Amino acid sequence: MGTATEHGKFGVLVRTAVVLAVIGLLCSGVLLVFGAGPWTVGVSMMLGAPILGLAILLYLVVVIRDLRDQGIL
Amino acid sequence: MHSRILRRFTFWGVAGFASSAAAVEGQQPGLAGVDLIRTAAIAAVVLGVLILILTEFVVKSRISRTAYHWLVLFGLCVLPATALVGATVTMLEETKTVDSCAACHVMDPFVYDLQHEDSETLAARHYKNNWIPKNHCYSCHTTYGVHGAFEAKRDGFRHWLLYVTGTYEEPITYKGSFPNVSCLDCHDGTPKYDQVTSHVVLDRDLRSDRVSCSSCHGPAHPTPGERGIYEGELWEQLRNTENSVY
Ligand code: HEC
Ligand code: HEC
Ligand code: HEC
Repeated sequence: MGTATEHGKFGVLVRTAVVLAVIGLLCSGVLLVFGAGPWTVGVSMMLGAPILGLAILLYLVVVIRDLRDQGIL
Repeated sequence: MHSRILRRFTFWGVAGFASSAAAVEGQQPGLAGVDLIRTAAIAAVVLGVLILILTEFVVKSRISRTAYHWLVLFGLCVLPATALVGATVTMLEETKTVDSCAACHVMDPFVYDLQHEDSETLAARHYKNNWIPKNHCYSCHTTYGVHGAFEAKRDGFRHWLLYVTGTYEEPITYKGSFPNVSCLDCHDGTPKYDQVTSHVVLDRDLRSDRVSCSSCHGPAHPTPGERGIYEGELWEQLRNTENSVY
């Protein structure tokens, strides 16, 4: 079993998903920590949630394509 | 190999539990479910950011592919989902309070009037007599804002957009008509309500919103003209006087 870096095919996609998820997580943290107000709802729900959704979606794309490559799907 | 992955997971699991437990510990006893979910979500945010950054940018070349995949799965699916659920629950719960209505300053006149003991508006009467014990705005405006059906969500989003972009005009007005069902939810079927002749005669019109409850029982809030005294300089003066009730 090799190390993770050897599996570089989807590396860029995963890395993008990771960066998006970090941003999205930090955004949703704003509402969680400061409570609901016009700005916190904006940052967390209108900005954070779609970014997090995009990260999860990207990750799913990678997983599905990886499984296809391996002939499992 | 597997034991190493397992150890790693145990470590994160313990770290996650410890951080949420520590956060819970700092709160008052009798923690409500919402607070628990919120705390767990905060832990998920912290944990997620840590796991993702460490996995992708620090230890990636040193761990096995399997370990990497599990960590990424955890950081990209499980924790973000927890954070999203927590943020949504927190928002839905917190926006019920009068305080959160007051977070947008256009609501100031309504909130001040509600809590003003001399006010005789319908909302103030429900407040000072404790007819509605808490979440007053929400109780009468349940169909409003981020709660309720799709239409309400759309309205809530529209109001939010208007507010943060500052593209609304004062005095703000109610689009459409107030749904009587918000009042009937509490009053329908009570002897006091049923014994009033006007209610019986107008029953169908009231249920279909052709006649509004507030046409006889209004005003629910200060009129646009009256709202001015709750804003700006005059309001500041009122609030800063010695016997101010605010
Ligand atoms: C007793 C029930 C009741 C309570 C409590 C209540 N409202 Fe209302 N509100 C109404 C009704 C009824 C109307 C519609 C008035 C009309 O159509 O004349 C209304 C209208 C409004 C409007 C639109 C004003 C306009 O001129 O069109 C706003 C904004 C509003 N309410 C905010 C609030 C806020 C903020 C609170 C809490 C501080 C609150 N309301 C509490 C019953 C209530
Ligand atoms: C959360 C429950 C609740 C809601 C919502 C509510 N009320 Fe009430 N209201 C009460 C209670 C409780 C009383 C006091 C008992 C009684 O008179 O039935 C009361 C009293 C009243 C009274 C009689 C007292 C007075 O000062 O005239 C009127 C009129 C009234 N409500 C109208 C309304 C209208 C109109 C609405 C909708 C805009 C409304 N209420 C919404 C709970 C509610
Ligand atoms: C055509 C005018 C009219 C309309 C419309 C109307 N009411 Fe009334 N309501 C009255 C009258 C008249 C009374 C009895 C006098 C009083 O107590 O003010 C009354 C009394 C009440 C009372 C208090 C009863 C008591 O003895 O404390 C409540 C509660 C009430 N109405 C709720 C409503 C609700 C809710 C609606 C809308 C679904 C509504 N009313 C619509 C005329 C109206």
